[in-house]
Amino acid sequence: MRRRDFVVKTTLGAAAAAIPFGGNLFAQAEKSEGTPDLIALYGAEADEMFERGIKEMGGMGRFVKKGDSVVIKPNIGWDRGPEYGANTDPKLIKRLVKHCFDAGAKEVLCFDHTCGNDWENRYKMSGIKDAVESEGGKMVAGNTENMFEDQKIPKGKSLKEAKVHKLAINPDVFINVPVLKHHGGAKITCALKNYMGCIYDRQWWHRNNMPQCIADYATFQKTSLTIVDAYRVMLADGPRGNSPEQSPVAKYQIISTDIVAADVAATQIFANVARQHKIGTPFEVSDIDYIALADELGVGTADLSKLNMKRISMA
Amino acid sequence: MKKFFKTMKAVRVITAIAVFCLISALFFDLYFGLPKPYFLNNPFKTQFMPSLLKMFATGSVLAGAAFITFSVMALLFGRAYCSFFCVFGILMDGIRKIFKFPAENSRLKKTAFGKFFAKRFARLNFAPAHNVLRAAFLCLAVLAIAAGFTSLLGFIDPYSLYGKIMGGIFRPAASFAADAVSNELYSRGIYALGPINGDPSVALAAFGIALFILLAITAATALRGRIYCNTICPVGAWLGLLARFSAFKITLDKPSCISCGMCERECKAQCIDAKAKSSDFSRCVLCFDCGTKCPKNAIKFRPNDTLQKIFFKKDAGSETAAKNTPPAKTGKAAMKRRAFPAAMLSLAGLFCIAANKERKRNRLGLGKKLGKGKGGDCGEVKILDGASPYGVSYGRADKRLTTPPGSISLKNFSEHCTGCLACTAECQGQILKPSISEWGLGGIMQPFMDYRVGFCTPTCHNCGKACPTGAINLIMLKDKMSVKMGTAIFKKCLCVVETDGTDCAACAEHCPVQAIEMIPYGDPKNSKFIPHVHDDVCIGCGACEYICPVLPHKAIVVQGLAEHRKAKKFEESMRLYKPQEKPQDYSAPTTTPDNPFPF
Repeated sequence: MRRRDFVVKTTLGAAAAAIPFGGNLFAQAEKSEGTPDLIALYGAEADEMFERGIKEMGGMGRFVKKGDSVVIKPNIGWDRGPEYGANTDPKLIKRLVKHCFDAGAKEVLCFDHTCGNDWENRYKMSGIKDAVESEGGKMVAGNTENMFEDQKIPKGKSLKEAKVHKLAINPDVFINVPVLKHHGGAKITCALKNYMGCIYDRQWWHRNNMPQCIADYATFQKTSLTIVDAYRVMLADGPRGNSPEQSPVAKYQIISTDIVAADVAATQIFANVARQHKIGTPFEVSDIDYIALADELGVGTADLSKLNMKRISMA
Repeated sequence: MKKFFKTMKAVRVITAIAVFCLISALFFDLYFGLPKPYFLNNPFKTQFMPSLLKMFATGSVLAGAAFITFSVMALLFGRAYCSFFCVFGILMDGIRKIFKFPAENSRLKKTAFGKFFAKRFARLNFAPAHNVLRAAFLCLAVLAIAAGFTSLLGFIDPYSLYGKIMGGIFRPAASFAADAVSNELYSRGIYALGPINGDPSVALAAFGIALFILLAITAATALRGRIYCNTICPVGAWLGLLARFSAFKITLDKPSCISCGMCERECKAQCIDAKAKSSDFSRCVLCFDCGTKCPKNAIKFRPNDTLQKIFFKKDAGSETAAKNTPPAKTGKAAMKRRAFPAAMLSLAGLFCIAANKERKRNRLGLGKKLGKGKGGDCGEVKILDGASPYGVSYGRADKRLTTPPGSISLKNFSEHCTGCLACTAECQGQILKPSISEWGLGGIMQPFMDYRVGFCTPTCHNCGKACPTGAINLIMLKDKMSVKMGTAIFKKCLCVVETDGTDCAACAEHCPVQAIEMIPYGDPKNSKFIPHVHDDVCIGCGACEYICPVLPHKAIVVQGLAEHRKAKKFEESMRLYKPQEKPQDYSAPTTTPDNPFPF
């Protein structure tokens, strides 16, 4: 597992290193050549942005090989319809599943440990069950203890071991599809925090320094791709949401191979949307404890300038 | 006439199977997939006692349709309800069929096994009526309804007994079976069937009660047919009372009857006396079996003697059952016969008095005696006005049980629920569980909300859809979030923010109505936040209690209300912590139309 991780990481690192940056790491990142690490999109429907973004990313074939079993981990925590922005946009998930199959995936499985034991109800209400199953993917339950296995987290500081969902353990392809929203406890929930749906005993995290646990777990979880759904951004009263008015349509999306960078970009987008709509708090990246902790543990980089980034406006 | 009996029997069997399957479907609705039309035309509406209770609960005659229809039908044709619609009766017929099978199967018939069953179970004989007992139980039922002890009623009413068996044994068993199948498939990478929601288990004692009911009724049915219906069942007693005056009756035609006894041994109600050529129509459950077996076509379904006299001017001479029964026992024998029911009734009376006293005693059940939380006793015990008096035997002393959303009040709930467990089967979070001591002596098997295993799902109102008695009324989903069942009570001394100094906010995160606000706590430099409950906004759904990570005593628990109220909607003006006081800096948008990205 670790060796495999290592191989993947070094290969990616080598690939990234091999990309010519055009000598300038700053504002001109769009102009750089080669496949990007992070793509920020703006101005269209969630599925359209994904269509465009994944094309720029080098197509789904870059991540999904023929015969792979793909695991998608959206946020399906809440029994809310899509208009609340409490769960990942079902349209995006639908298009994603389609792309996975087009790239030759053997099966596409989708799960989340929902925030309540009525998991089936939440799968249905979020619209994600329909989205996945209409494209031929499968929804897998994530609430029963027997779906979880004990795993050691060697690099963890607070979290040394955890019960991890079977699908999240060493998958062929793991795609993290969080939704960007406000969070009462962690201030912002996005890609790193979305991993909380992969483990069984979340309450333990709440008791034992949650930001550190979030960062610790990220050292363990293999992720091929992170897609941040910021089509609707819940700016206040998260993570469950109070009314759809607090989740304005912002039309952003981030597709990234680096999960920490995705969270950094997402936090900046959150602050920007909060300013535009004058709702909630425009958090700084430094306010979000787990980002720095994950960066420290080497999960990814919090420095966007180190990445080959591409910005695409479709408005 | 034989043809008529055969047709009617076929109609009865088909109706019975349909009714039984439709009603049982709810108890086997493991994945909550029953369609809306099922609940709009709820088959539970056909059940006698629930319909009666709902009529009293809602004051609507329409709700009492089954009660009225079947009572009128009893005056016209006899107890059609008992064989056609009563689920418990249908269950008994099923049990009887199983016990008769070895005696009727062509292969088993001749074996010792078959002969044993034939001798013991297949044939029944006429038995005298237990009219005193019947009247006693009918009185008991009337008293129980009048005094609001429906949980007691639930132990004699057929529908509730059926529900207890289903909800206490078959539903949990089916859930565990489905879970096992799902696990097996999942472990092989087949994700066709998911595990069921929540924890389907019921308390061991509740299972025991249900099992006792099932075993008792199986034994009674195997040995004595519909003995329950003609001894204990208050519905049977009431309909039997009416059936005495029924316009149409099943009678033995004296001139053609040869007293062969074919009908008598078939009669599950044991109400045909072939020797005397008479039948006791008040005990007949109208199964139409007798007429199909009569070799002489001597069993008739025809107007009663009085009507015959008026319209046909003839004396059919069949209504002489009363004259043929042995003369009423007098003296010591009669005393002996009546001693048992009298003793039983007084016991039931004592039970009622005891339960009533207990209710009056601030309605505090066993909970108060045991409810002193051991580790959870730091800080003050806060009991709000109007809190439900029923505590729990575990956990904190300020924990109080809630009644399900739509039950209006503890009073309405406890006075109309017969403990049929239909709501527990439909509960999406599987948190409604049959109680043992939770509601005290007067509420055994009435469901309670167990927030240890989950919380009341904001997008579910299935208990109200399922409840046939009016104990839980249906509330619309849009209104559900404004029904206040209880109030969350937060104890700072137990919270991890206080004890461990870490951030948590799990309760605020899960609150569906924004009733929990995270307010700054301790040194402002640490930027720690601690929960604060807005009492008027909280609806008591239990999400916070369920998710609270503190063990063994939750830092936040729900204190149920004795009467549900209307919750206030959270408004910004209620907010205690206003970071806007140092105005939020919304200026300097970092994006331009050219570059919509802030980085």
